Amino acid sequence: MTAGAPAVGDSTVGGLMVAEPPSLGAATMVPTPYRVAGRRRDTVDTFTLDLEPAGEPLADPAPGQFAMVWSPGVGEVPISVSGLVSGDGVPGAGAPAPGSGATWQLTVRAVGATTRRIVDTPVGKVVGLRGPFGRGWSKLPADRPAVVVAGGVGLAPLRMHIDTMVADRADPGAAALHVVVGARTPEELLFPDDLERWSSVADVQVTVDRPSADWQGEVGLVTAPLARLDLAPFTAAALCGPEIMMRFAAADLLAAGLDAAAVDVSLERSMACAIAHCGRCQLGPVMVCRDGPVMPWSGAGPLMDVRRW
Amino acid sequence: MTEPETTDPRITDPRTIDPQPAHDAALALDVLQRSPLHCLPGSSLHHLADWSTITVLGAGEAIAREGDPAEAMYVVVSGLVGLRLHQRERDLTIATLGPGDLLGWSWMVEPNTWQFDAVALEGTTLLRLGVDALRALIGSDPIAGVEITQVMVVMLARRLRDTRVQLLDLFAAEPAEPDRGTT
Repeated sequence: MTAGAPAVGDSTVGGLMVAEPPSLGAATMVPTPYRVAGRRRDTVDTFTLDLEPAGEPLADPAPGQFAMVWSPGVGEVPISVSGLVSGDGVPGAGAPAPGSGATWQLTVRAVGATTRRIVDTPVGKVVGLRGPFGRGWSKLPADRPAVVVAGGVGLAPLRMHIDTMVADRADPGAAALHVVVGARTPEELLFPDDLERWSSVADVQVTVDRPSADWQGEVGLVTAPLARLDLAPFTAAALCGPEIMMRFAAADLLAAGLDAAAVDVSLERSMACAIAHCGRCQLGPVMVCRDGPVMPWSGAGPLMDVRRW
Repeated sequence: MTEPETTDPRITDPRTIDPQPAHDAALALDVLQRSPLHCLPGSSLHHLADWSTITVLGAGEAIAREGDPAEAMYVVVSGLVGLRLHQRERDLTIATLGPGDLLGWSWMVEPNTWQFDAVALEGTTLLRLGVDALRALIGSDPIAGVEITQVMVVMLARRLRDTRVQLLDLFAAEPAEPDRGTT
């Protein structure tokens, strides 16, 4: 399901569209075995795993959706899908469809015991997946200009979305696509090959906080290159990264005339059940696992001001 | 209405400043109109365009050095400028400026010396605005002076905000929440 495309039974709470709880099919409750077919180190602590179905496949994920990844005997964590390889399904088509059997790519940063165990899973071994869950990025027509702002590992949940937009904009007459990426250091920049590939169609700008001695590119926050873009007011935006970065980027985009309803952000909350039952990811009136992780800034912005304790 | 007198010895009557050697004033005006200075009165922009010069630099060429007298402000027309500090045989790039950005605020703040090195990181074109011309404009046209001051304050506030956010080191790995065992 894409953001802005509410399902039957959706309702409005506090001015924000929230969905009815998903049906509790087996794929949402019981991990489905997926075998590690490939494992690549992206940065010092971030890896991308290629996961093939070891049995009946799950429904294909839409760009921006996430899965619950279970390492047997250790734990389960929410991870956004960063790629789908060789699928013939139709991501984002709405109702869950039988999976195409495509290989899921999950980009995982090892920050705790579970994520460390997941990235250390040897090729050939099995992890469990539940999903796909949540709302993904709004699908944009090729004639609508778009800007994507990603910070750190926030590029991973945007990767499929950018891939789709780049493919849709192969026509020289297509609308502009800007991709602004921030990273801590040049070495911690994700997907440099993709950035190179996207730059044939999109205006790709990369900035880092801490340059290496041989770095000749931009240094600073993503808001600096963002401010130099000449954006039409009907430009759509997709933001993913640390919430502080997204807050300032969204504020600048709105100041540039963009509509808050056209600025998608991906919220990171600690999802546990992923089916809107446990309340762990509750943010005001919404359950991020069900109503997010992608939400329009018009709804998410006021909620992000709510302090957690 | 009489024009305000300039009492600051650093301020020159703009009418006494000769326009810079012939250059494309139309191009300079276009650059200014697309820069943060676009809010200046039209007559002020024309004066600045007349007094400006276009500077073209190759990658690695210096624009200014830390401690040099701040004798100009620049508008980046194209390319990329790195602000650098030199430490222990190494140049540390602390920020970059791109097309449309203003380079140089030290001319407004005593002791009016550059605080950082400014270096072209790639082929770069700049519009140079001499301090004499800027001060003359501010001294003779208070409205332009207020507008320029406001532009500089907005620019500094924005850079201060970005620098503060950078100091948070947002992309560093956050400590993980306690893992939830599922078995």
